[in-house]
Amino acid sequence: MNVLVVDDETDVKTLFEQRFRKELRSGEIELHFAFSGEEAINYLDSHQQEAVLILSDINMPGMSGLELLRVIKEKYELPPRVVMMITAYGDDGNYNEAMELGADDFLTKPVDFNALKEKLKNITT
Amino acid sequence: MHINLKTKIWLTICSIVFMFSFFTLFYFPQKQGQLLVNNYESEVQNLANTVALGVKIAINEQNFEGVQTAMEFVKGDPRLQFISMLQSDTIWNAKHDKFEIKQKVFKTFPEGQQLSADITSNDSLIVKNAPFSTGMMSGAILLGFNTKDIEAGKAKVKNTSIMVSCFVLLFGILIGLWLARNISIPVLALRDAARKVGEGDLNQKIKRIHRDEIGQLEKAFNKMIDDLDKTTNDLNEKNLVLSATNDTLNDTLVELKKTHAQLVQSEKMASLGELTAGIAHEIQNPLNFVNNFSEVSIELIEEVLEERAKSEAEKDPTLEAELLEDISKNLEKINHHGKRADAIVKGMLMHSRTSTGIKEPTAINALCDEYLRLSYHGLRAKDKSFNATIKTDFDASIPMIDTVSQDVGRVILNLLTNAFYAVNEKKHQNPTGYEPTVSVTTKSLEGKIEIRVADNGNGVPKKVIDKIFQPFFTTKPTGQGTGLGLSLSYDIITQAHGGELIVETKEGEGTEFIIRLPV
Repeated sequence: MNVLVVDDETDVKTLFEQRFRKELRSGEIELHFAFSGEEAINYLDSHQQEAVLILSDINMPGMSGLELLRVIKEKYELPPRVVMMITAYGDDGNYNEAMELGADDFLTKPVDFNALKEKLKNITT
Repeated sequence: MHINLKTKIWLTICSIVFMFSFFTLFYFPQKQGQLLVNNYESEVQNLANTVALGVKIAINEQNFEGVQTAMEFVKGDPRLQFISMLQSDTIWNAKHDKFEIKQKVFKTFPEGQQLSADITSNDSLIVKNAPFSTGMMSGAILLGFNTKDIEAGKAKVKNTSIMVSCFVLLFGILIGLWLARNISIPVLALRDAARKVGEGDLNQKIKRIHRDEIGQLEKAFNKMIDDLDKTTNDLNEKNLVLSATNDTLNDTLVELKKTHAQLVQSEKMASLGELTAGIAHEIQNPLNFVNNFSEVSIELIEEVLEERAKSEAEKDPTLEAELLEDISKNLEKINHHGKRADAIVKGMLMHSRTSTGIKEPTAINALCDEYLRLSYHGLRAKDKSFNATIKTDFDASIPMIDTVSQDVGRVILNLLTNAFYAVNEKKHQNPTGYEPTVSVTTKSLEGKIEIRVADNGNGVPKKVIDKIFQPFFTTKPTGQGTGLGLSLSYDIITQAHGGELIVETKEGEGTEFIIRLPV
C-alpha cells in the first residue's frame, strides 16, 4: 500500500520510516513524503494511477492540510483516496471542518502508531 | 582725548576767569592810568594857561602885585612842585639878521629852588609851559606838579582791579562748584545708579530731584526703575508659577515614564498571550519527536537484543549494524528536538522578562526563523481558517551582530504579526486568485544587515502612513491591537540599536518593512 505522508516537519520522514520499518522491510507498505500541501498535489498529479492513502498534517505554512483535503476530494474522485488528517490541535473546529470536507479519519498528535497501524490494516483488508 | 564733564566745566570757568582777570589786572588799569595822566596833564596845562593869562593882564596893567596874585593862584595847591616865570629874551647876532630866544628863570616859587628853564616832565613830575607876551616882556609860566596823586590813583585802580579779580576768581570757583553740584554730580550720580541698576540692584532711586532738565532726567530714571522693579516682580511671579508648572510637568513626566514602562511590559505580555497557543504547538512538536524517537529506539534496542539471541544461521549479518546506526541517529534527533523545545521555552521566558538592554552576539537568521514559527502558529491557533504562504530567503553570509536579541525578536514578531494580519484581512475580502504570502528576507549589506518583512495584503493607506509609528495608533478593531507595536519597534531599532526602520507600501498590493542594523 502506498502511503503519502504530508507534514512540514522533515523529521517525520525518519520517524515514519523507523516506526514502519518492519512493514517497510516486509514490503507491506510503501512510504512517500511531501513536506507541503503543494508538494503533495504534485506527487498525486504524477501518480494518478496508484491507490494512495494520505496522512496529512493540518498546520502547515502555505496550503494547509484542510485545503489539501478539499482539493483532493474535489480533484481526484477516482480512485477514491483515503485521507487521514493529523493535527496537534485536537479541537472541534478542525475536526468538524475535516469531516465536512470528507476526511476519512482524524488523528491527534502525538500519533499513536500502534493505533495507526491497526487502522491501516483495517483499510487494506 | 577724553575730557569728562567736570573738567569741561572747570576749563570753561577758568578761561572766563582768566580773560576777565586779564582785563581787570592789565588792560583796564593801564587805560585808567592813561586817562588819569591825560586829565592831569590838561588840568596842569589849564592852570598854567590861567596863571599865564593873569600874569599877562597884571604886566599890562603894570600891576606887579597882580603878577604875584596870579602866581598865588596855584601856590595853595598841594600838588604844586614849583611854579616859575620865565623871561624870554631875543638876542640878535652882530649882523642883526639872526636871533635866538633865550629863556631864563625870572622868578620861581618856592624860592631858592634852582631850576633849569628846560626842565621836562618825568615819572614823578609833570611840567607844563604856558607862554605869555606883553609889550614889556614876553615869557612863559612853567608849572611843575607832582604825580603823587596820579600814582595814588593808579595804585587805587590796581588794588581795585586785584580785588575785582579776586572776587571774579572766587565767583568763578563758586559758579564752578555750583555747576558741578548741579550738573556734574547729578550726572555722575545717575551714571553710578544706572551702573548699579545694570548689576541688578533696583534700590537706586535718585533722592534729590533738581528743577532743570537734569531733574527731568532724574525723574525719568526713577520712573524707569519703578517700571523695571514692577516688571521684575511680575517676571519673578511668573517664574514662580512657571517653576510650579514645571514641577507638575516633571511629576507628570515621571508618571508617564512609569506608565510607559508598564505599558511596554503589558504589550509584551499581551503579545506573549496571543502566542501562547502557538508556543504550545511549537513545544508540542519537538516533544512528540522526542517521545516518538525514544519509543522507537527502545523498540530498536529490543530488536537488537532479539537479533543477538538468534543462532548464527538465523542472523541477518547487516541488521544489527543498521539498527545500531538508527538508534544513534534517533538519539541525535532526540537531542536536536529536546534542544529545540528548550530554546522555545528559553525564548518565551526571555520575552516575558523586562529587557536587560544588554547586547549579545545574535544569529539574525535563527532569530527570524524562531519568531516566524511562533507568529505563524500563534495566529493559526487563534484562527483555524488562517493560512498563508511563507517565503524565506536567508542570507547565510550574515555575520553575528550585537543586539538585545529579545528586543529585536519582538520587532520581527511584531512585523510578522502585522503582516499575517494584513494578508488575513485581504483574504477575508476573497479576491479571486489571492494567495496570502508573507516573506522574510535577510541580506548582508556593506556595514549593515537588512531584514525585510513583506506581505501582499492591502497596503497602508496614504493618509495613515505618517502615523503608523506613533504610539497608540492602530487600524485594528478595539481590543485587537495596543497601537504600541510599531512605535516600540521603531524605538528599539532606531534608538537602542542605531538602525533604521522603513516602511514601503503600495495600496492594494502590499507592505514591506525594512530593518537595517549596523554590524
